[in-house]
Amino acid sequence: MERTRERYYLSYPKVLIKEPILYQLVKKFDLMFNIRGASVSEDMGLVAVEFEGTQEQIERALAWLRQIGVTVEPIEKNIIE
Amino acid sequence: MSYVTGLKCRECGQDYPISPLHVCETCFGPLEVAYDYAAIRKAVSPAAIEQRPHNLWRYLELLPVDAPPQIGPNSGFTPLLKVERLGAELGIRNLYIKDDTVNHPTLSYKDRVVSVAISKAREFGFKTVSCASTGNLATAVAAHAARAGLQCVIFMPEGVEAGKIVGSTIYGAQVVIIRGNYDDVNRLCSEIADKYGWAFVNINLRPYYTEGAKTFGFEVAEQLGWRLPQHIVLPTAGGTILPKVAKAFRELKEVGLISEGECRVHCAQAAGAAPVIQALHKGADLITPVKPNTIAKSIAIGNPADGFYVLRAVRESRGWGEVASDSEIIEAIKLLARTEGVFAEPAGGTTLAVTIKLLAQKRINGDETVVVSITGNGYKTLEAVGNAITQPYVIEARLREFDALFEQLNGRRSLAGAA
Ligand SMILES: [Zn+2]
Repeated sequence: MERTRERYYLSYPKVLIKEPILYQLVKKFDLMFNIRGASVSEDMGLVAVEFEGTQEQIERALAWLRQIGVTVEPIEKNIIE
Repeated sequence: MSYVTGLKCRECGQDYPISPLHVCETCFGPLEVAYDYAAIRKAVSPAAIEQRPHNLWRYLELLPVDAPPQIGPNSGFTPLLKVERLGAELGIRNLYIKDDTVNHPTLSYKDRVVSVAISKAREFGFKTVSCASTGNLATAVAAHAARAGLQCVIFMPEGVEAGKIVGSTIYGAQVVIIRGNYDDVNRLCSEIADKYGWAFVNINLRPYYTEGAKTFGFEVAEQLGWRLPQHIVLPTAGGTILPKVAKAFRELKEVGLISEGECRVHCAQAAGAAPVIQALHKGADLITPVKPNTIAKSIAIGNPADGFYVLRAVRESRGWGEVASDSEIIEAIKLLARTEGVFAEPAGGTTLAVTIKLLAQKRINGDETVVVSITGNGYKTLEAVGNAITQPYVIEARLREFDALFEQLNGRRSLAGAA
C-alpha cells in the first residue's frame, strides 16, 4: 500500500485536553506522526501534526478523532471563501 | 524590477525562495512575502504614485510580482466616499466609506487579491487556476482567469444555489460540486492542490493572494492625502484583509510614503460566525472553531486560516471588535443605502453595524476620522435582504386610484415630499 503524508490541525475541546489522544491513535491505527507545534489554553488544545500511513489508515484515524470530539482540519483551515 | 526578497515563515522566521509554497516545512506556519524596504524607500514617492493609472498596480513596488502585470488593469482604486448624511445620522464628523462594491470586474474586494494571485500564477507558469468558494471568490477567480487566458476549475460544496454556479460558469470556468460538508471540501481541495499542481489562489498561492489585500489600505491612506484614519473597521472571514491592511499601514511608514499617525484597526464579524471576536473578548490567543449560521454568507467562516493574525493586528493597534446580529446587519445595509446610495452585501452591513456599536461604546469618538470598509456589492446577495424590504403599493392604472393613495399617505414623508 502506498504511504502518504498529510498535515492537520487538531483542536481538542476542554474535556479531552488531558486524554492521551495521540498515543491511542498510534496504538489503534498504527500511524506514524510528527508534531510540529502545539498550544494549550484553559479551554482548548491545538496541535499541528503530520500523519504518515496509507490513505485508508489516515481516513480511519481521522474518523475516530472526529467521533471522540476532536476537530480535524487541514493546516490551511477553512479555504472555502 | 521586483523588490521581493523571498518568502519568510511568520512563526519561525525560516526563509524560502519565491515559489508556489504556502506553509513552512518545519513548523507549518504560514509564509509571507518579504521585501527590501530600504530599496523601495528610494524608489517611491507620493508624487510618482499619483501620476500612475487608477488601479491597484500603482503600488507595484509593494506587491509580489516581477513585472507590471496584465491582470486586473481596472481593479482597485475604488472610491473613498466622505459620507456626510450617514455621518450626521451617526454623529461622526469625518466618516468615510471605502467602497469596494464597485471594484472591477466582479464588484467585491476579492478582485484585489485575485488580480495579484493570478498575475503570480502566470509568472510561475501555471495553466490552471482554482479555488473553493460559494460566492465572491469564485466569481473573481473565474473572471480574472478568463481575462488571463487560463483554465479555471471552481469547487463548491453541495447545496449551492444555481445562481452562484452561473456566477462562475458564465466565465467559462468548470464548476465541480463536492458531496459532503465544508470540512470535506476543505480537505479535498488541499489534497488536489498538492497532487495536481494547480494554482489554488488561497492555498498554494496564498502568500501572494493575501498581499493583494494591502492595496485596500494603501488606497485609503492615499485618498486621505497620505494620512492614516484614526479608525478603520474591517470584516473578518478567513482573516485575509484585516492583518494585510495593518501591514499596508506599517509599510507606508516604512518606505516613507507617510510620516506619522496611528490607526486603530477594528474587527467586525457576524454574530453567527464570530470565532475571532469570541477569542478577542475572552483575551484568548487560540481560536475555537464555530459552525457558522448567519445571512452574511461571504464572511461565514468557522475556522479562519489567519484568525490568529487578525487578533494580533487588532491588539497591536489597540483596536477592538464586535459582532452584529443578522437583524443589525440588515438594518445597517438599509441605513447605508438610504443615506448614501450605496448597497452593500451583508459583510458591509456587518462593518457598519459594528462601527455603530463601537461608537456607542465610546471606543470611537464622533470627532475622529473613521473609515468603514464595504467589501462587496448588495446586488449579488439580494436574497439576504429579500424579506426586509418595504412592500410596494399596488394600484390600478387610474389617476383616481393614485389620488386616493396619495390622500391616504399624505403627511408621510415618502409621497408628501413629492407634492
Ligand atoms: Zn516556520
